[in-house]
Amino acid sequence: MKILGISAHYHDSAAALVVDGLPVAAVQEERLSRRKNDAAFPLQAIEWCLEAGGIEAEDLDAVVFYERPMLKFDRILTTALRAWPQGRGAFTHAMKNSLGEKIWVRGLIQAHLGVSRKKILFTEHHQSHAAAAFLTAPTTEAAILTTDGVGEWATLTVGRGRRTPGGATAIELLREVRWPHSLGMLYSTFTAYLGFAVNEGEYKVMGLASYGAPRFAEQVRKTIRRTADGAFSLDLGYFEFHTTVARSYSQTFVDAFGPPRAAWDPIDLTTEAGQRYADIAASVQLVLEEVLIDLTAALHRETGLSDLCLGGGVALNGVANARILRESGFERLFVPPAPGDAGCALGAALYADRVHFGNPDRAFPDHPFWGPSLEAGELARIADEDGLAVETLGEAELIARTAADLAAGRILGWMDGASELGPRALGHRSILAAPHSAQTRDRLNRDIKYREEFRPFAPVVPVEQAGAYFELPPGGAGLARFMSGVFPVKPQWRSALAAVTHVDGTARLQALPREMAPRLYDLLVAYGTLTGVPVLLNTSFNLAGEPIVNRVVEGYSTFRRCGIDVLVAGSERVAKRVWTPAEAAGMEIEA
Amino acid sequence: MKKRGRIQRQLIVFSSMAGSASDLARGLWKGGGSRRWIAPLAVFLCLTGAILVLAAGVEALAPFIYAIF
Repeated sequence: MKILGISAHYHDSAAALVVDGLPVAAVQEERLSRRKNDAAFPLQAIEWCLEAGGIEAEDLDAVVFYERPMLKFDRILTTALRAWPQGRGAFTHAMKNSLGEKIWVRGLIQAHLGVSRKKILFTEHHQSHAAAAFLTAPTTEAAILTTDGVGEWATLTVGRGRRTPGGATAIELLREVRWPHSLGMLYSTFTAYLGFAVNEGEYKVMGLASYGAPRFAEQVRKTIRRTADGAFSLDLGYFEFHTTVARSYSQTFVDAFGPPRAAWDPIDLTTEAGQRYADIAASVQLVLEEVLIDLTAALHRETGLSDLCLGGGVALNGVANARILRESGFERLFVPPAPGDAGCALGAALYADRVHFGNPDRAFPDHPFWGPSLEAGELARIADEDGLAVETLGEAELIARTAADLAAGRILGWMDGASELGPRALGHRSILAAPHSAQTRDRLNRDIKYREEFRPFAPVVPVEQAGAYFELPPGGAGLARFMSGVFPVKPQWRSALAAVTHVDGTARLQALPREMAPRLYDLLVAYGTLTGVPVLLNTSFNLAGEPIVNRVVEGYSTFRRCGIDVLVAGSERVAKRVWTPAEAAGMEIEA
Repeated sequence: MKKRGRIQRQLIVFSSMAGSASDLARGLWKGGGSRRWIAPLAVFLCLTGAILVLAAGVEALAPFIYAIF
């Protein structure tokens, strides 16, 4: 059975093709259109998925959209009318936004793909999140928690899933919290207040939180009240996201927390204002963690299960995930590589396959690499036109040369195989560097990533060695395989891993099993043999404001526009300059 | 994928609208007394959307949109 899943129209649109119960291809539109967080109907992603699967649109048995647009329109309309008359601006905006294309998804799919009406299915938004979290996790029975800004009406759901290998699958969502009471919107409101872009800057709030003390936690707790049934409700007096498009926080909010930060104001942590922003970030982070821990601990008591699957955009908060693992009572926590809306394309297709059509369960490959692959010889062709010499190396020599480059302090663009689904570079489209020196971090921020200095970089380490360098709780390595948890760096290694140790002594590590990305794993081992520390700095291969690179040409363009020293794509290597033997032998390791 | 012209695509979207709008109205009606009053407004808005989609696809109709409003 061939099923195409689609997510679109709000942020991070994507398409995924599932054939006979297993994914064949999945990619975000932004990787192909080269527009960051592209929310357009993902025509390029659909075309690529069909091409990768070797099928035509008419061969599809079903096309599944990841949410119910009419139910969403119902919520938008009801919310706008409830806010009338002061919400008339929001009403006009919402109608303009929705009526043109967003609610006519069935017709849009028919028009573009030419499939018949009866082949077009819809799942609910949080069902897609739940399926993306549970059906891709290495577990047969788990509690499920999904939480994000909002889907149709639900902003958070709890439930449980059960699958029998080769047999039936059940996903049951037991309860939900409804709009406008939303953990995602709470965090996004603080993101906007702190001057960052909503749906993009939440990472920055999490990074900034480590520099602050949660001295505003009591004020934040006043904005989100706990209810008798264990859930929560926002005090809407602090918010305006449900009544206006102009801003998401109210004057009451500003009275409680002080003047908001303008997006163009630099964050200087040596000033009182800068420290206040960090303290507010720390406070909302703490309160988010408290609520999530209460919810997950209650879910653990209710279900008695040992595994928990987390979905929705809030599941990208690695600090909260690590606390949930430590404090909720669950033994294992699974977060998919794309817990946000992009992953819903895959979730919707899997939900339709297992639940709607009742197809038997299939073991899911535990990796995130479902995107376009590299073309052999592409780097040689492009670099040759540009006048740079490319070397094509055997596997052993490539790994040895690359490890030597990294040990010599060079910064490396690394492209390997198929690209990742989701916002994180997990070893196939990465910038790699030695993790030892704070100067490397500063150079990456200044010359390559062009981003705020308070944002940390992540380490990657072979899973077997992760416990030697990081304080992982039981189940921590599993959570860290997709870089989904933030854990302390062992105190004795913090200075030797300065480039990847955040100000609070933590790191959002990737604990890499060899079967997931064998070449990167071998590179880590080779680097460890050279330097004694098999850890590398791993950050996404892109520049600020751009999507992660997809094809070799984009990797090469990025390599040429920033301070990356060496680019490796498949078995081909190109460097910006030739190093003398003395330089090549120079080791810049402070470990 | 089969490439269709803009007009053809918009006409396909237009032809699917009645079903989608009736799904919405039916859902609101089943939602009970407190939500039934939204159903006529939702249908009106969907019709407005239909006109907008049609006008965007068939440019010859655009001048007549002013006459409707």
